[in-house]
Amino acid sequence: MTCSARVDRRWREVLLISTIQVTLPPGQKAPDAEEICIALIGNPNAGKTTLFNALTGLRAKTANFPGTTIERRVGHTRLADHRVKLLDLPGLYSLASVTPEERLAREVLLGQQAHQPQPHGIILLLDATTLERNLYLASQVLELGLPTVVALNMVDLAERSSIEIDLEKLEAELGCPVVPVVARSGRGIDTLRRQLERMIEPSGPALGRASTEPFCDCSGCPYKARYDWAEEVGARVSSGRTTAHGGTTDRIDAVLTHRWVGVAAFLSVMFAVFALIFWVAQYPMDWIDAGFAYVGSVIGRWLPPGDFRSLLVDGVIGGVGGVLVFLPQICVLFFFLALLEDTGYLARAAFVMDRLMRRVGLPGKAFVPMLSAHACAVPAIMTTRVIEDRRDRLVTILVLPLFSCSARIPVYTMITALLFPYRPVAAGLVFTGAYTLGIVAALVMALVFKRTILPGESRPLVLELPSYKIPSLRTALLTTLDRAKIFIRRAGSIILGVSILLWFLASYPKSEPPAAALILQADAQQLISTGELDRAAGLEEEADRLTAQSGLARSFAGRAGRAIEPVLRPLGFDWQIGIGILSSFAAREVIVSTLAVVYGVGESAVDADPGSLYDSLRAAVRSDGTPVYTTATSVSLLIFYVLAMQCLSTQAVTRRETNSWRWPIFQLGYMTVLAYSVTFLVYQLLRIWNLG
Amino acid sequence: METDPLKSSPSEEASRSTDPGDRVPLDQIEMGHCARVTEVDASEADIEQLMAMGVCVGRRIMLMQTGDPMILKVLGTRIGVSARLARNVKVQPCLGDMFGEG
Repeated sequence: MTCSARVDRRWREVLLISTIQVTLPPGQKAPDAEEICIALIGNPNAGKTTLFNALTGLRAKTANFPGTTIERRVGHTRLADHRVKLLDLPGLYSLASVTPEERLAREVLLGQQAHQPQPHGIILLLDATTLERNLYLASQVLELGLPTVVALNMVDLAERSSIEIDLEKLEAELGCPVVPVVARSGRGIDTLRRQLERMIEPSGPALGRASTEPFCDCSGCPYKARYDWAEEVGARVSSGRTTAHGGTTDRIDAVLTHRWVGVAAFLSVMFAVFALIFWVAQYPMDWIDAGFAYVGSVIGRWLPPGDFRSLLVDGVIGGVGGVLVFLPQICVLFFFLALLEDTGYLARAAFVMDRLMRRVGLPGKAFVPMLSAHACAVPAIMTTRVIEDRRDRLVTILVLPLFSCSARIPVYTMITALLFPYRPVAAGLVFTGAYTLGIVAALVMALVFKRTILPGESRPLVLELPSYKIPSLRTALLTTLDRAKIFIRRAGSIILGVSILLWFLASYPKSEPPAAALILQADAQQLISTGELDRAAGLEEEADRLTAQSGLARSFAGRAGRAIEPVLRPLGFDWQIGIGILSSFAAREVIVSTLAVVYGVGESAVDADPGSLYDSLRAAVRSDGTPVYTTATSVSLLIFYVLAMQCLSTQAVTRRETNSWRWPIFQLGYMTVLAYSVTFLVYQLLRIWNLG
Repeated sequence: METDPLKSSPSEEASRSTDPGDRVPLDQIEMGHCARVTEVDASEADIEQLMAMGVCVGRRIMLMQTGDPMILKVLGTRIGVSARLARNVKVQPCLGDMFGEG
């Protein structure tokens, strides 16, 4: 934290200086037309995110460019007495308008993007350790003629590799100021700020490359001409070598990119990450769970019983808490992925998995999202941004919710306990089977989609394998914070709305407490008058339980459960399970607490002793007296929950990442059809084998 | 071409030719060997990305790892690339190493 403290101090200094002559009070947004905007552009792996964070601190906002799924990061900083908007453009090798990112960056820099005024200037980030390759993009950016300041990053690593760059010569070659920086440690950032202040001064010297030789001499390819220039400039400005030898990286790569050892190493790394996710995240998850339960009970004590209390406790706190409880897993996952990415390892992971993933028609980059989906599909879908090809990315997003995420664990646990109580080996096999089914279903569906609705060979791999580096904790933490904010915003909007809707459906119309409950309450009153408070409390709890059970059965949700029973009967489900499926539409683990209420166990009883739920589920009978939870019904319920969508957070993030409602609706549709048909087949087969 | 100097001209690139005798596809040079790119078949859809990363005519390339995908080194950076794409790059083996020391 010392690093961020230092940055904060610097921030305060900047703010102090600037408050002397400000025209606008700090924090007040200047009108867009007058706001100064600087765009940050550079190669992938050049340290762009780190530099952006060093300049803007915690104030960055992440969204998409309008109409695209290309990430748009905007932060603000103060330069001289101006509030300056810093726009982070996607990492690019070229501005040639071949990929959507290149086209977009080019349009932004030329001021051709709607709602995005042309930037006043550019920070061109160059990696000192691979200067020649970086100069290619530089040649295109400088040609645009916008005021430009070059930030030469990773000069510390360049020095260590005995690359000596003559800054004055480089400035002369490029025709703009060059500031050596180490974005990771903050070295040179103050100098960079001063150069930027000079750049945005209206009366300042005109910067940018004035004399640009035309690169397309029309006798050859523009790539050649620009790269010839880049190599010449590289040779002129450096006295020693121009590129790092990279012996260490080569030695590590000999192991980590090896055909088989590399795959084994990758699986071990990911296994370690997942073990950490489940181990580290369980503590904050327990705290969040306990926190929401505590807030619920406090509100329960402060407010009189009634609809408003029920709305707050069961609808809002229960619903949002049930989703937010996965926040720690999402954060831990993003934190470790950001660290791995920063070391340069994730590129190797994509490289070694590429050969294997091609068999299902997907690129190697789809593998990390697929593994992440076993913790939670939400961060997994967000990480699919690394997949360049639109179709590959869509197919990956579509199948990700089929992998067994951690929200399914409570459901699997419940069903396993029903099927094989006190038999850990068999229970372990059920879990393994559920996970395997999810993986097989996802890979098969990926193949199907690649052959049908999104046809085409997957894009051939072209991937830079950057030199290994010590990762920046600060960058990883800021990335994690950024993703967490997106998730919380979702939980606060769409998920909150649906939770309230589901609460309403399960609570209305109100019905009178059943006769049995009224009798119990009357008995309890009598016991209170005779002083037997313990027994009275027991009877009252029993009465509440009966009231909740009959209330839910007569509610809209209960009626809907009965209404869809004919559809669910071929799967072996009764109307109670129907209520469970409907109520867990937003979050699948909700079915456990719903079934507890439907079968009259009471949620508090289940918390205290999960066995009480399993016992009453096992005791549940149909109208003809046969048990509901036969082997066939339990197995089909398990399969249904492996394959069905049942997660509103995933739907919301699919909507965000595909920028259309079409794909989340399609995802919901195909998964429901898949879940229904497979469950139907399995249930009917099991019935034939007399397990129903 | 005057209107947009950043655009490449694939047809011109494909028609360039220098000494056809020694040219071999990139996926056929030996590991650890250095070669100079003499031709890139720009008709392949995804090759632009590879060219933008420095695998274009005139650059020196070293093969770091064979197989599919393979690893190249160009301008001091490592690039993982599918053999399918690498086949479209023709190279001529060259002397000296690629770090300006030979």
